[in-house]
Amino acid sequence: MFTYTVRRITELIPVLIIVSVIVFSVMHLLPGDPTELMLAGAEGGAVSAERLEELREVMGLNDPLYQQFGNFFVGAVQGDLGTSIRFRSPVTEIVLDRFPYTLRLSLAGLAVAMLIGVPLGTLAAIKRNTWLDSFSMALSLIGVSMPIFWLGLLLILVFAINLRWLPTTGAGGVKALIMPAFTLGFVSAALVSRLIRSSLLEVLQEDYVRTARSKGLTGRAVLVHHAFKNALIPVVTIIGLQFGHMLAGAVVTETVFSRPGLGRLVVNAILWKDFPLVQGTVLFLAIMYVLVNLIVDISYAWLDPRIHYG
Amino acid sequence: MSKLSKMCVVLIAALFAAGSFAVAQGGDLVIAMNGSSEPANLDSQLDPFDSAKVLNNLVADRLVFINPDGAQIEPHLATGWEISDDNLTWTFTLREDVMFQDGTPFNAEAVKANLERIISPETGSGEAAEALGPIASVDVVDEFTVTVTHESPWNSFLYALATQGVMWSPTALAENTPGEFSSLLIGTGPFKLVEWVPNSHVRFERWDGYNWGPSIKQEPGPVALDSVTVKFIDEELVRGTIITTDEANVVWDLPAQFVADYEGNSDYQLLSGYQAGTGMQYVMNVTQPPLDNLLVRRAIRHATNQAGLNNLVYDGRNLVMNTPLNSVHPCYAPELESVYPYDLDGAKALLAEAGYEDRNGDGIVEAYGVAGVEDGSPLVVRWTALSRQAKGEALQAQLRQAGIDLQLEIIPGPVQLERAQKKDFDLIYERQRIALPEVLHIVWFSENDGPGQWAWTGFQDEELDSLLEQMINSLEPSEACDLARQAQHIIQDNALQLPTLSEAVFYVLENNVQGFELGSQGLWFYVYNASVEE
Amino acid sequence: MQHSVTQDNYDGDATTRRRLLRLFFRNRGAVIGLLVLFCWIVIALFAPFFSPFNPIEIDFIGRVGPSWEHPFGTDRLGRDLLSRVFFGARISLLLGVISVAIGLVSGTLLGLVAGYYGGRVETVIMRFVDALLAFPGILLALIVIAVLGPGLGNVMIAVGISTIPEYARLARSKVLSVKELPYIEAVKGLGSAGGRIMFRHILPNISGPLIVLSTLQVGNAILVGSGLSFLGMGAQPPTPEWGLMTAEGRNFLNRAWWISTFPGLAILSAVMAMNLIGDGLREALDPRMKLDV
Repeated sequence: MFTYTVRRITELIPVLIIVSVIVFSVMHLLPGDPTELMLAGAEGGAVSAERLEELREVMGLNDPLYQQFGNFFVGAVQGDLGTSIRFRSPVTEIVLDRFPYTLRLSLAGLAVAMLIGVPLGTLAAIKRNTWLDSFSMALSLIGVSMPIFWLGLLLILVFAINLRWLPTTGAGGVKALIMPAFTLGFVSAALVSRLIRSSLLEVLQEDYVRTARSKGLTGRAVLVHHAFKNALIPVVTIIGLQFGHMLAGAVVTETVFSRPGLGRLVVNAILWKDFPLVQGTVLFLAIMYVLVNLIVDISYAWLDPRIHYG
Repeated sequence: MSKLSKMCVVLIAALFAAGSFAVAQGGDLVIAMNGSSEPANLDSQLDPFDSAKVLNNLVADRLVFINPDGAQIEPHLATGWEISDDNLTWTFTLREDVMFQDGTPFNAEAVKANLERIISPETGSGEAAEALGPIASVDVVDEFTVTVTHESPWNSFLYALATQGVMWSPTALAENTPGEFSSLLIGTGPFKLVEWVPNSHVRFERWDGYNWGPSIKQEPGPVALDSVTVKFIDEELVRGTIITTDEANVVWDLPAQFVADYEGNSDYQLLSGYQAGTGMQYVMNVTQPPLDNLLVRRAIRHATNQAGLNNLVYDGRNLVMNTPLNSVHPCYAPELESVYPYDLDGAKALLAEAGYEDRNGDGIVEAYGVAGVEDGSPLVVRWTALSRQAKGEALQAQLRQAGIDLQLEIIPGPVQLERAQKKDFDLIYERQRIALPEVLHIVWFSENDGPGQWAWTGFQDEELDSLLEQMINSLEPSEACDLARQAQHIIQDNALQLPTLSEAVFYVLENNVQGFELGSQGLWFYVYNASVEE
Repeated sequence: MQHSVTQDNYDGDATTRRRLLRLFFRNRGAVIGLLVLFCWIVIALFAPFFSPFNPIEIDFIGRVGPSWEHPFGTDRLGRDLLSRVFFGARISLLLGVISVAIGLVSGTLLGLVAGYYGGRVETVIMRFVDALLAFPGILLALIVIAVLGPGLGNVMIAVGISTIPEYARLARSKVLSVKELPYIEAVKGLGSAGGRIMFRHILPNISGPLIVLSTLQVGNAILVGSGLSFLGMGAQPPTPEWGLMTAEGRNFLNRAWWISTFPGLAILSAVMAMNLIGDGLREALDPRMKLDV
C-alpha cells in the first residue's frame, strides 16, 4: 500500500508540470494587456504609455517568456505562486483565502448528494419496479437534466423572496449555505442515487448475497452487512470525481448566490487576463483534484479487499 | 507628536464624541450593490473602479469636497487653497484638528506621503496618478501648509483631489503592502473598515473619533449610523428583489426593469442620479471601411431610434442623448440634439449616396462602387461592447431596417482595449464619466491614441485638436466649456460617435432609511446624515 | 482497476442486433426518451415550417405573456418565444452532437493508439490526458473559450475538447481488455497492419460503451453550453440557443416567468430524453457497463 501511494504521488509530478505548461502558454495566447485594464479600468481615465511601461517592468511582464515561466515554476515549487495583477496580493494568499469557502460549499454539496442520493437509490433498489422506484429515478433524472443556474434562481425566488425562509445570498452562516449546497449537490445526488440503485441491484444478484439469504439471514442484515458495503465501492469513485468537479464547478452556484470561492476567482481572473492568478488557481485546483482522486483510489483498496496494489 | 499627546487627542476626541453628541438614532445600513462593480482592491488610490472611490467615502476624507448641490468644489480637510500666478504651484492650508483612525495626526507630511504614494511608479496606480497631473514636487511648508508644484498647468487638479485623492494614514501605508492595506483602509473617515470578504460583502462600523465632516454634514461629531454593510450581488434578479426581504435596506444601482416594482409603493423611496460625461457611446473607427465614409456614419445616426431602445430595453427610464457630452454635463451643447433625428428614409438615402444599395433583396445593402470595398459585399458593421447585450440586439433590429447588418460582439475588458489599440473595430463601447470639459480631450484629442489612452476613432482634425488644446489650458471654466461646445460641433458634424442613452443610476430605499444623499454624480452617495429607524 | 469485459461484438450478426433492439424497446423510459428526442428532431428539421414568427425579429411591443398569438409569450425584445424555442432546437441539438463528435473522435483516437501500442506512446498520451483531466468541471471549456473567444462554434470546440480525456480513458481501458482476446491475437499473427487492426477489429469491439457515453454526453454538452451562456461566454445574441435564452430571461423570472421557463423546460426535456436513451442503451448492451475509469 505504501509503495503504491508513493508511486501514485510520483506519477502526479509530470501531470502537474504539463498542467502548468498548458495554463502558462494558454494565458499568453490570450488577447489583451492586463496592466492596461488594471491601471485604467474598463471605463476609467487616460493612462500614459510610460506609466504602463513602468508597471510592466515592475511586474516582470517584460521578461522573456521562458524566464517568466521559469520564475513561476521555481516559485510554485516553493509555494509562491506569484502576485496577482488585479488584486496586487500574493496569489497563494488569495487562493488560500477563498479556498475555505469553496471547501465548505463542496463538502456541503457532497453531504446533500449523499443524504439525498443514498436513501433515494437504496429505496429504488429495494422497491424495484414499484412507483417508488419510478418516482426516485424520475427525480434524479430531473436533477441531472437541469441548468444549475436556473435551479438556483428558482430556489431563491421560492425560498428567499416569497417564503423568506432562507437568505437570498451571502457567505455567512449555515442558513446561507443551504440553498447553494442543494443547488450544487442536486446533480451529484442524482448521479449517486442512480449508481447506488444499479450497483445494489447488481450486488443483490451476487452469489454470496444469495448464499447469505439462503442461510436464513433477514433482508435487512443482508443489505447492511453484505450488499451495502459492496455497493458503496463505485459510489466512492463517483463521490471523489464529483467532489473534484464541485471544487471548480461551483462557478455558477457561487455566482448565483454571490459567494466567494475559487470557481468565481478563476473565471474573473480569466476575463481580466490576470495570468499569475489563473496559473496559480488552476494549478491549485489541479493539485486538489488529483489528490482527491488519489485518496479515492486508496480508499478503494481499503474498501475492496479483493484489490491488491503492488 | 509624543505618544502621550497622541493619547490625549484620542481621549479628548472620544469624550467630545460621547459627551456632546449623544446619538439620537443610529441603525445598521445594509446596501446591496452590483457585484460586478466590486473593486479588486478597495483602495481608490490604486483601483480604477468608481465604486472604490464611493466606498472610500465611508472610511476616508479628501482635501476638497464636491458639493452635491451645484457640483462646487469646497474645502474639506484643506481649509483653503491658492494657486500661484504661473498656475503651477498650489498651496493648501489644512485643518489642524484631524487625525487618522490609528491615531496618526493628519498634517502636511501626511498629505505629502499620500500624494507621493499615488504618483510613485512602484505603487502601480494608474488612473489616480494620471488624474493628479504632472506633479514635480510636494513640499511641506509648515505643519499645516503644503504646496504641490506641477510641471505644467493642471486645471483639473482640485477635481482630481476631490475624487481620487483619498487621504490614508501614512503610518499604516508604510507598515503594510497594498494588498494588506486594502483590508485595513485606515483613513480619517466616519467609519472604520471591519471586514472585507471579497465577492460577498464589506462591513464598516462607526468611528466615534470623527469630527470633521464636509459641509453637507448637518451635525458636528461622529455620524449616527452604527454600521454600514455593503453586499456584492451579481444576479440582477436578486439585486432587484432583495429589498423585499430584510437582507438590505438600500439597493445601489437597481436594474431599470425593477424600478416599476417600487414606484408608487409607500414602503419604499426611489432615487435616481445621472453620471456626467459622455453617456453610453460607441465611437466609430474612421480609419477603415465602412465607417471611413461620413455618409455611412451619418446614416447610422439617422437609423437609430433611441427612444425606441429606451422603451424596449429600459422601460423608458434612461435619458435619450444625441450629443458628445450628456445633458447632465456642465458643457452640454443642447443645440446639437436635433442634428440627427430618427429618419429611416434619410438614412437609406445617405447610404444610397454612399454607394450602398440592396440589389439582391436580402434586406441588407451592398456596396457598389465604394472606394476600398469589393462590389456586392454587404454593409456589415461590428458593434463591440462589454455588456448591454439586449440594447445591442435592439439596435441591431433598428439598423437592419435601414439595411445595415450590425454584428454584435460582447468581449471582456482587456480584449476591448486591445481592439481599440489595433483599430480592429467599427463601433466600440467607450464611456467616460468625468464632469469636466477635459473628458473631451481624453476621448477626442488625436494624439491621445496610444496604449492606455482613449482617443480611438483615428479622426484627425487640426481645428478639433487646437480647440481641445486651448480648452484644457483654459483656466476659466466658462471659457473652457465654450471651447468644449465648439469641439462638440465638430464631433457631431463628423458623426464620430453613436450615442445610445445616458443611463440613470437607480436607488431604492426602505422607508425607514433617512438622510441618504446622492452626490453630484449619480453613482456617488453620502451617509453623513443617514440613519435607519429600527 | 476493475474492467468489466464485454466480449460481444456489438456490430455482430443480425440476431444479436435484434436482441438488443428488443431489450431496448422493452425499457419504458428509453422509449419515452426516444419519442421526445424524435419530436425535437422533427421540430429542429422543420423549424421554419412550425414557427409562427421569425425568431430573431424584434417587435417593439416588448415582453408580453403567453397568448393565442404568442403561445409561449415574447421575450424582452418582443421576439416570439415559441419560434425561438423551435429554432433553438436546431442550435442546441447541433451543439450537443457536434461537441460530442469532436470529443468522441479525438478522444477515441488517443485512447486507441495509447491502448494498442502501449509503452512510451501510451505514457505520453495518458500523461497528457491526465493533465487535461486535472482541469475539473467547466474549467477546461472556460479556458478554451478564453482563447478562442465566445460564440456558438467555439462553444462546440470547447465542450468537445473538455470531453476528450473521458473518451480517451474509456477507449484505452476497453482496448486493453480487448487486445488480449485470442481473436485479435490471431489477426495480429496474420500480419495485419496496426491501423487496420485498430479500426477494423478493435474499434467495433469497444464501440458499445463509447456509444452509451456519447448519448449521455450530448445532454451534458447542452447543459455545459447553457452554463457557459450564463457566464456570458457561450453563444452570442441573437442566436436562439436554449441556454442563452434561459440565461437572458432569468432577470425577469419574477415578472415575466415565461421568458426563461420555456427554454429551460426545452433543455430539461431534451437532456432527459438523451439520458433515458443512454440508460436504455446501456441496459440493453450490458447492465454492468462501467463508463468511469
